[in-house]
Amino acid sequence: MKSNKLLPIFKHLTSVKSIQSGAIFSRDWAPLHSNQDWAINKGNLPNIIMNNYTLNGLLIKYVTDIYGPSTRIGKVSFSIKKPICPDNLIEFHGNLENEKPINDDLSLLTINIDIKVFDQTFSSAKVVAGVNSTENEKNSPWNIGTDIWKSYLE
Amino acid sequence: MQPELPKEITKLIGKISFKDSSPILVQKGLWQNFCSAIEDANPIYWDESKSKNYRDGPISHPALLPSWVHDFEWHPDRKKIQPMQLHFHIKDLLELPLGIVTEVEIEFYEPVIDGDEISSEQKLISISDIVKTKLGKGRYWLIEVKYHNQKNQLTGKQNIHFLGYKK
Repeated sequence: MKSNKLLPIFKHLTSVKSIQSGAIFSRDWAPLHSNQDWAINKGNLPNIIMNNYTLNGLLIKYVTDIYGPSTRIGKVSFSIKKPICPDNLIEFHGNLENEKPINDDLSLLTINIDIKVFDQTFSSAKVVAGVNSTENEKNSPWNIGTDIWKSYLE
Repeated sequence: MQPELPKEITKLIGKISFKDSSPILVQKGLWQNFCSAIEDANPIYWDESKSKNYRDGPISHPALLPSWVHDFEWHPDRKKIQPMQLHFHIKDLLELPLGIVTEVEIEFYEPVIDGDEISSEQKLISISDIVKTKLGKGRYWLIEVKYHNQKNQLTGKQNIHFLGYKK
């Protein structure tokens, strides 16, 4: 079912520390995410840049914060148009593109998200997630077997 | 006219060329460090009892799936194994010293939990002609990575688009 519903905007201010810790705690030791001198003078970059695991983590957080902890993320895709650097106020602008009922308990959502800094789109993403359509927590999408879950994503 | 790709590159296309085994067991404290860094309070990553409302216990943050095959930066007994070895192998073969991720597509299947051992296999899918970008001259390539747990269950699949370049 086509939806086209705008979702709340989430804002996140980056810092040197947040970009470094996102990279280090995702076991990504590449210097372009943690060494400012290397990033600028050797990487030809404006500063250290957010690694893709951190960006992916923030996209997933955006969706689960809106739809609740039982939300099961199936797919995330994103392109990086401009690097996200320290002291960027990044804004997540979501749009629920489609809501597909799978059965009485589960709907599969397709959400488009633009990540903007200074009104410019730095990254565009799409997330597919399963949500519980009932009040009963036992119907959590996390209780779906992997083979069945995988078939929903195809 | 575009120079031809080296044969060492073309023979990699469509074949699994590198496998990574888990250098570290999946651990709750490690994924919670990451959740703390991104300020993600979802109880399914944090709270043993609340997570049972949704599943039979806590799970690792999905975004960390590829991280579980990343080696230590330093190890007392051996040299570091480079993560995404195929990407660095391509950079070396093409003499492109710098590289960034431009696009990611990742699917999550079997959830990753405390104590899991994750392994991965890397396959080169495609590689572009030479391009000129703001960062420098280089090529784009696409690598597919599949991740399994110790029970050989598929935990996820990732397609990563890279730009390799030189200034």
